Amino acid sequence: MHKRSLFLAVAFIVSLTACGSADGVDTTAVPSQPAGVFTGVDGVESDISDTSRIVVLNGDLTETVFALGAGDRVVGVDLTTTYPPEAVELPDVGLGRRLVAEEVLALNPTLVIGDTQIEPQSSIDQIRAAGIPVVILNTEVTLDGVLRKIRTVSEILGTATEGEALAAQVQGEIDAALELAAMATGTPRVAYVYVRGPETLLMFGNGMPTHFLIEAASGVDAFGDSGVTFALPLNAETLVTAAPDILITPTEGFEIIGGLDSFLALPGISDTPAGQKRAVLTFDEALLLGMGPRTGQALADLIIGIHPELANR
Amino acid sequence: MRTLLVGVVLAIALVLAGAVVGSADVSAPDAVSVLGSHLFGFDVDVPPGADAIVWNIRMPRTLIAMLAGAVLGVAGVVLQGSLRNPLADGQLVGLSAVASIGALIGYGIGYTSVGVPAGVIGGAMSGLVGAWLVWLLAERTGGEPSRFIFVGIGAGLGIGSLVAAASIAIHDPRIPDVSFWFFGGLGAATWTTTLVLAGISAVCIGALMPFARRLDVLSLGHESARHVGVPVAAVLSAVLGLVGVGVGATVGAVGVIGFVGLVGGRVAIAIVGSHHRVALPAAAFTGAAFVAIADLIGRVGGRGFEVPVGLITTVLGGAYLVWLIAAKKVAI
Repeated sequence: MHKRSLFLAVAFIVSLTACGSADGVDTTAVPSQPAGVFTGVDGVESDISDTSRIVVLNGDLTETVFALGAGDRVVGVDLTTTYPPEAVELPDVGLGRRLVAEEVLALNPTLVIGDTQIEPQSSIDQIRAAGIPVVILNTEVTLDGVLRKIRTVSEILGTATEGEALAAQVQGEIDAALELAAMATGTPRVAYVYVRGPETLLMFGNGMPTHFLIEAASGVDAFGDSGVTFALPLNAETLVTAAPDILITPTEGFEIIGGLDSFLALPGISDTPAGQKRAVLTFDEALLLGMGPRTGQALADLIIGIHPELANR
Repeated sequence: MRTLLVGVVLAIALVLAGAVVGSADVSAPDAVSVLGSHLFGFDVDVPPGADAIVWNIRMPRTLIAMLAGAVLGVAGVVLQGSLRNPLADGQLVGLSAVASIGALIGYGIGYTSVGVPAGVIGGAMSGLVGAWLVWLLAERTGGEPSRFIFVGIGAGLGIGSLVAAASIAIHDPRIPDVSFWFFGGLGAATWTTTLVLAGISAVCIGALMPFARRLDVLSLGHESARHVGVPVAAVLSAVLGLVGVGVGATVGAVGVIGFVGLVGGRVAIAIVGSHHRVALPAAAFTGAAFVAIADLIGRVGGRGFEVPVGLITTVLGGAYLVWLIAAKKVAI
């Protein structure tokens, strides 16, 4: 559990450091041909001339490629891919965060796309040594990052028109959700508890996608407010101190541990205001954490979830 | 009598320390007040959150650590005496590893419906099988302590690694990860799990006590025990079975915490002597103290991160084992 959260923490630190430089990228002049020479956030230049067989190493990037209408070029995905359904049918290469070079090479790709969470570096190096470009993108955690991600992927794929259309659509959905959030009458304390099983329990705080979503939804990120940065192993004492009014957890893990009563029985939960009111919301993991093209929809669901009074607006 | 008093005082001190030490900011007087309010009905005024942190989080964790330590310590003395091996320990003889197979299956099958107790029951069941295998191993190695221990360590590491590998390969989130199967984990302790383990440990330790005299005779040698009329096979199957269930249940509840039987058992014998009537209860105290102290060290290890309790016990226990052998304190 510790190791996993360290992965996440390191990945996010790296990505945030990279954020500063990515802000300066000029995304207005997008070519309609594949990018040619593209410099990833790891500073490695890739010569992208053939985008006919793509392996995507993160679920949110898979979603983005499909939303850009380039799904037919994807030949492999990683296990975090849960949407769209036709992507789930594709061969998987295991977990991008535990990348095995052979799994990728076996699919004979012409391009591999992943973000800064992809590990270990040695596997990335092996794929590159085989002459296949591996493009490493920033791990986007903010609402602005969602649009940046769409534009960057479309630059790589040479789908400028589709990219601008998708970015405009997503921007519209996010703006509509933010307007809704502005009508909220309170600012509840909301904590995101990541659950996968008995030993995989994490608190998401500052710097995580959930932090930016909760804040955008007119809530207070209770863990971030208590000093939790990135993802830390769930600590019951911190949870009680954070005193969330509402808890959010991924649907998949919630069901695995046995549903609401089991969730409330986890250490510390029943001693929070949310636990006492049984105020637990579950969200599809990829939808809420992916910061992909469905982020506007996720944000709207989140806003209505934590501000029930807005449900009819 | 004085020794018992020291033991009780130490146990109380460790419970108090367990209430005071943790990542959240709760002052020592507040922490003690919370205990007073729950145990003696005192009417106290503590900051919001303090009650829940101390009573619902730190107490189950402290008590489950001590229960696991008590069972593992008693198991150490029984294994050392009955198998006539000064280094025997639930982990070193491979018993914990066999128990972890059942715990893993228990988590896989029952976690969604009953939570952690599924792992506890699975662990207890396969601990029983493990005890039988340990007995078989002891017989096959013909009373040669070093052969027995080497085979136990080898088999234990092999099986333990297999379980850890399975926990990765099966890729089932219901199953705890690698760290749990090697170094234990107390962070998920709740009152429910604590009470389940308390019941099982009370039965196991309680049922072992009447065997104290026969264990004394057994530790002089199985052959001489037979001569004085001790039904060796019957006694061994009973005591090893109880040890297997107890150790297996702790593996399911808190994972594999190493060296507790060796340290707890040998320190107890060094303090009160090797008569089982006193060594068994003494080992419950020393084992409990050893795990509780290791947990306190692990808790203050880092902000937000905790060092798994089994890493601390293995660091301390490993050093103790080297010292035992280097200083020729045991004959193997």
